[in-house]
Amino acid sequence: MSEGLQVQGPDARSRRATSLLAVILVLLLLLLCGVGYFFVRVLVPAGAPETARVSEGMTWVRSIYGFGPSSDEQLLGPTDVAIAPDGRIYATDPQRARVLAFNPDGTFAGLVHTGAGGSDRGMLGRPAGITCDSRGNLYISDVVNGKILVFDHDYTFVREWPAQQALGMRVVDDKLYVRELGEVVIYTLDGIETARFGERGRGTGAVLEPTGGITADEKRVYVADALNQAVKVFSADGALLWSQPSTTATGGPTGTDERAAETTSSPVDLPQDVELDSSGQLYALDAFDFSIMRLDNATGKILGKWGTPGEKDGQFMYPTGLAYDAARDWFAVADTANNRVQIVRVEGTGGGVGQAVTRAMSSPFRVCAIPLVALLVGIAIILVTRKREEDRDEAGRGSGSLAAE
Amino acid sequence: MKDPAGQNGSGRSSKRRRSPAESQRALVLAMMVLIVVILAAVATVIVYGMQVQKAPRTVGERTLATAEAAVRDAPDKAQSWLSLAYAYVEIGRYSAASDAIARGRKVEDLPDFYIVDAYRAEKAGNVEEAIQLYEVAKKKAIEYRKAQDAKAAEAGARLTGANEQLVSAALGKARLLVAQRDYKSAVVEYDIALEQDPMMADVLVERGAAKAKMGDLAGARADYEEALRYVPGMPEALDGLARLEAGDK
Repeated sequence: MSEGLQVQGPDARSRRATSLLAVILVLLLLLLCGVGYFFVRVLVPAGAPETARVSEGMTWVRSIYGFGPSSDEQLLGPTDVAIAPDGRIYATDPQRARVLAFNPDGTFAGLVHTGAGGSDRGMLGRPAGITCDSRGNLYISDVVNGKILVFDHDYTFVREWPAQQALGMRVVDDKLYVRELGEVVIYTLDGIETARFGERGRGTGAVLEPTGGITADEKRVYVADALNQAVKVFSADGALLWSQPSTTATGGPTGTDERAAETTSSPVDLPQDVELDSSGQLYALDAFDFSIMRLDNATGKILGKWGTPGEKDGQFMYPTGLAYDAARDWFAVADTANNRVQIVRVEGTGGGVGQAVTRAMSSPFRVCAIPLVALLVGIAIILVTRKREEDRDEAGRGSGSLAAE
Repeated sequence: MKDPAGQNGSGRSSKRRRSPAESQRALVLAMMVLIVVILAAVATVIVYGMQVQKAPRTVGERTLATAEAAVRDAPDKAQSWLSLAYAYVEIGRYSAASDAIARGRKVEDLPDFYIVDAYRAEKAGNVEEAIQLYEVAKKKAIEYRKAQDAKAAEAGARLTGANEQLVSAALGKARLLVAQRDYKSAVVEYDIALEQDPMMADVLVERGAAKAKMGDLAGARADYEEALRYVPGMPEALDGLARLEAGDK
């Protein structure tokens, strides 16, 4: 052996091995950071708004455009949305005769597509309105074939019954409220008609135009009377309780010049849908005001509104459908002219901790839980192993002391 | 006697100095944990990431998906590459935008590619570079128009209408100069744009505001009034005049 070289003892070799392991550990940590960065890059959508609070009082959660990159796989003018009890979001895609289903995190969940333009039993022609019952069954109105179809949670056809121009509908408890040709029709969930009220026409009072959504609570039936430019509220037996605005803004066959003159000052422009939040608070979606409005349930007074026009995420362009997810405290909006569904939250809907947790579990970032759990399990294994070693050492020292004594 | 290693059993064994073998065992264990975590993260990214990235999630991603499809379908069309470059710029993928610009220019060396290149620099925050690139784009726009004019003349025709690319490049540069408070140079660029199309009311308002900032109040008033000639009741022009009346530039 050369004189210049020193003989390395076991300690030196051991120190070198420890250093080497430490370096490898640091490299692995850096690799983990790199994977984490890539994780964020994948999960955060490119071009998302710089801040989730897209306008005063409104938070953008996500946008849903479809289930693939090609135009055939994307929504084209969705007219209505519904949210199932499990959070699944449904959107009508009328021009392609189908309904698309998405998970709350925005990933694709399924497709109700029975064959374009089909008029046979169980076939979907042009879906316009959509709603879900508490079991997750899906009710779809087909305006071309004049019927309402029911599909179960797995998109299997269940039943259908005739309904002319059913544009807006909503399941509330065990009743299905439908807007049909200017009338409000109430069905059982099996399709048996139990009540009907309203009259088609232009102007104030209990007359309704066919378009617009509907919802209800125990006492009232809320109607977005789009072409009469009013939100109207009826008692359960069909008596008009209030209208916002109180006189119909539009002229028309039953309108007057005085009413026509009020058009410019109408606080409601083209209400396309109505919805209640978890506390029963009334909301309306105005297509021409590009906003979600909160209204006083008893008087119709507008308490607030949120939304701006535009094509950016978090803005609306002629939205027509609104649905509320009580478990996650968010609204799904059919942002029709932007060909997408947007998930937004508005202030004052009374979301709690439970809803925040459910919301977090519906975020794409929930998958971070998998490596996080792996990390925690690893740390636990290290701690347990160390504890066992220490206990063994102590036991060894104890028996050694006894032997020495 | 002091017992730092705690080997007499009086101290907690955690204070005991670890042997090299124990340290190595601990390091190996930590490495194994990290490897498992990394593998779990990679698997999650691959499996879930493919699912979430299948469809566009923002308007930027949708525009990009559409542009990518157009390039796939018609890679020999310069317009497809131009749309792709803009889509990349909008979502902040500037190097990909540069690549699309380079590939598009190979298809056809349009002045539009120089404009989007300047826009890329502008969005990336490189203002000086963007101003220079807009200047290059202006020159390219003039050259391109001359070539087009010559081609039309050969065919016995005459091109009319504004040089749109020159307008875009001049306006892009003018707005950056305004942001830099170089109002005098900005007005020169606005002049170039308005020379091409004098009826752009919004540009007249912008030039009016720049003139007001540099103290040319008469020029500003003339621009606002000219804008109102083309768009009667234009709120921005009325606001500009009101600001002049109030002595607020």
